[in-house]
Amino acid sequence: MSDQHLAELDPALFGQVFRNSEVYVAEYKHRFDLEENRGKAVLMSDGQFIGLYDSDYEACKYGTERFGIGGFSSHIIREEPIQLTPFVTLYPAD
Amino acid sequence: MPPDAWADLEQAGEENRPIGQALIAPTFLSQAPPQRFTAVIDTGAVHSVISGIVLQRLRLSASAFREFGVLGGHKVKAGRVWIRIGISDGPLLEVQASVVPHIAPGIDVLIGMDYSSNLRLTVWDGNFRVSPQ
Repeated sequence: MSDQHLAELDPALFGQVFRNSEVYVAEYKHRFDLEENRGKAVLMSDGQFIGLYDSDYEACKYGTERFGIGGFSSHIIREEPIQLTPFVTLYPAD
Repeated sequence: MPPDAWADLEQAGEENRPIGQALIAPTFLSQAPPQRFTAVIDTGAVHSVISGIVLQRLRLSASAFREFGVLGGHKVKAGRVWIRIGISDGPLLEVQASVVPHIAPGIDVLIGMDYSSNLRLTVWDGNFRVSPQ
């Protein structure tokens, strides 16, 4: 796989993800980073906290319905790294 | 579903990889019709990966991002998005795919076991057959 940064290829493909992530990490992550919330997802839109959902799927479903494509981001709490292949690991970003 | 619906996956690619056509659609936009992309089945990948071209053609945006780490080297940001994947006339199954700029020349979709584990994949003498379980 290319090591080209996807955001450099087309920033529009990321919508609000990076901007919301900065706000989430700075202002909200410490509130929700609890064992009881493991696997749940925080929905953000325009830098604002929208809600806590049982799963990333539920957060993205509601985000798409209310804000449309590119109008939100989802942040999974205490997400574990995924071993995509023996040589590639996917790390949580937030 | 007739068995020959999977015929386009029965031939292996030049590198003996199971290459065929996959239908990809947004998960949460039920009206959006699936679009066809060239795909490879990777039984060594635990989940699916799509190229940025797929995201552009589907008019989607990532809902989150992960970081790819290859052999402990530097990390690369990649998108994450819910999509529906189907092979040929098979069922469209929802998966959460990662998005990278490019996968391989001529390949837009890497179908991982998050999709394939729902099907029966048979490999013999460089041939591949996918059928419903």
